[in-house]
Amino acid sequence: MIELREVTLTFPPPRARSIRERLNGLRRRDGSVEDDRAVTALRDIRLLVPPGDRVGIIGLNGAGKTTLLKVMCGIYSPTHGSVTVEGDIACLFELATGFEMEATGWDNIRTRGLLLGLSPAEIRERMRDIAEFTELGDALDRPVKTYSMGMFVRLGFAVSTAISPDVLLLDEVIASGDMRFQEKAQRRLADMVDRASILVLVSHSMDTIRQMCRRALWLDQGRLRMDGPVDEVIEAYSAFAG
Amino acid sequence: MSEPATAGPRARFGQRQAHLHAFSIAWQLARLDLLRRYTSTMLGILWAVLSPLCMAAIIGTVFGKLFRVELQTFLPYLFLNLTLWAFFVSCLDGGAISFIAAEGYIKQIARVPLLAYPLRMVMAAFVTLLLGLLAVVLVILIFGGRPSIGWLWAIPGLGAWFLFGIAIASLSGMANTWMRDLSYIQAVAIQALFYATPIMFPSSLLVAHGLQPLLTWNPLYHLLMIVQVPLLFGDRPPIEHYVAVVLTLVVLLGLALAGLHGVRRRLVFWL
Repeated sequence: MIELREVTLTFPPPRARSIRERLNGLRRRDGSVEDDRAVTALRDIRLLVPPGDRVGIIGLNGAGKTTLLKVMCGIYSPTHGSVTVEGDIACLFELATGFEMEATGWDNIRTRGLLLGLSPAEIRERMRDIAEFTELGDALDRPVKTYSMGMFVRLGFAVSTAISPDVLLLDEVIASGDMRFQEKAQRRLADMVDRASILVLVSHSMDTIRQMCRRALWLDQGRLRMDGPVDEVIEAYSAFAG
Repeated sequence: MSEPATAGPRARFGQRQAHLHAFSIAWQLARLDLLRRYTSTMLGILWAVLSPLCMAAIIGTVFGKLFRVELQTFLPYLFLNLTLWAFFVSCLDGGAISFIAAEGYIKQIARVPLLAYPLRMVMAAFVTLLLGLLAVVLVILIFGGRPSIGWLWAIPGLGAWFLFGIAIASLSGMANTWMRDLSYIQAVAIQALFYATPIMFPSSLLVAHGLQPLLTWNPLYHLLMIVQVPLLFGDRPPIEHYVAVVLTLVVLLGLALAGLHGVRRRLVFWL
């Protein structure tokens, strides 16, 4: 179950990062540096996702879709309101970031596995499967700074999908990788989705949303503009986004 | 407000075990740091030992003459001090970038206890410290020191250094993430502290010039003593040093842990 109660998230304004900026701020007596640039990414979101639900999130760029996922998984804490998630939760965001560039593929599998909450023993157990799934072969022995974008995605995807969570948050992760890998990735993802009790998916592809979700949320400038059966919401959104 | 559930360790094991898990994460990252540091240079791991040793040899020759102390006792003293000092500086400098370097993890992958990131730097620095101490012991033996059961007193001393490292790396990490160019001030402060602490000169020199307060109120002096006395003299350090160290640790660790707890929701916005 996921429950969001009146969740508002305001990103603090760009802070004075250097002593000079801070001193300039002091000279303006208020000590603030461009305080009006605080961005409210989510406003008063109320949401209940019961077990078994499949939810798609749609909206224009910058509407707060990814931020909403990051609030659900705890990377961002809401400025107001509260978030409750019951069950084991996993999120797949941008897969091509968060690597230790000088380290080998193997070591990056280990690192990411630990960060995602796998125990060292679980990682040892799944290492072979993960490596096999990446199809990177000998490249796993090389520092990942030599990898191409597609290889990063393979690596990130393989590790991130090695867990089977109750609550799965997906953010258009399958955008990269070659055709063959995409197919394979889709299958693996479908498996994971089947096993998960709750799926929350962010996508710009209405087809994907229709295919995988029963319910859709339309976010507009940080507000929940519509929440309902997938076809109705997509229809309204399409009319709006034209 | 209740703590939101998070992806990753907290969700899987609950909060307490998430902290234990943070140690696994920190050690994995520290291991990578060490591998990179020691396999990317030709001399590899030797560097960790060679650089303080060279410093000690140079300073020892010059200052030994100036202070009219015998090289035989002065060189091990210097080498030990410089090795411990290198750990101190690594913790501050490594700590300073610990969160910034982990931005990709903190923002994109999952929320793990923040302590993991400074701890990573401390663990790597501590392994380097232990290697350095092996060389120190070797030098002590070469200069006629004899193995002594009293050396074991260095073990609680090193434990204290490890905790001290965690505290200063965390504090440095939070401060430097909050204000990026603090590192310049930090560098000057480290330099000043280097000259104020009896590292390159015997502490008796300060006492002789009526500067005893510089010793009494300098936590680093007491931290140095609880490793120095065992290794150089094979003795138990005087109790007052332990008292000073424990007080220092209580204050610094308290500040560090309270700080990490306080910024756990905000730090992500500073990156």
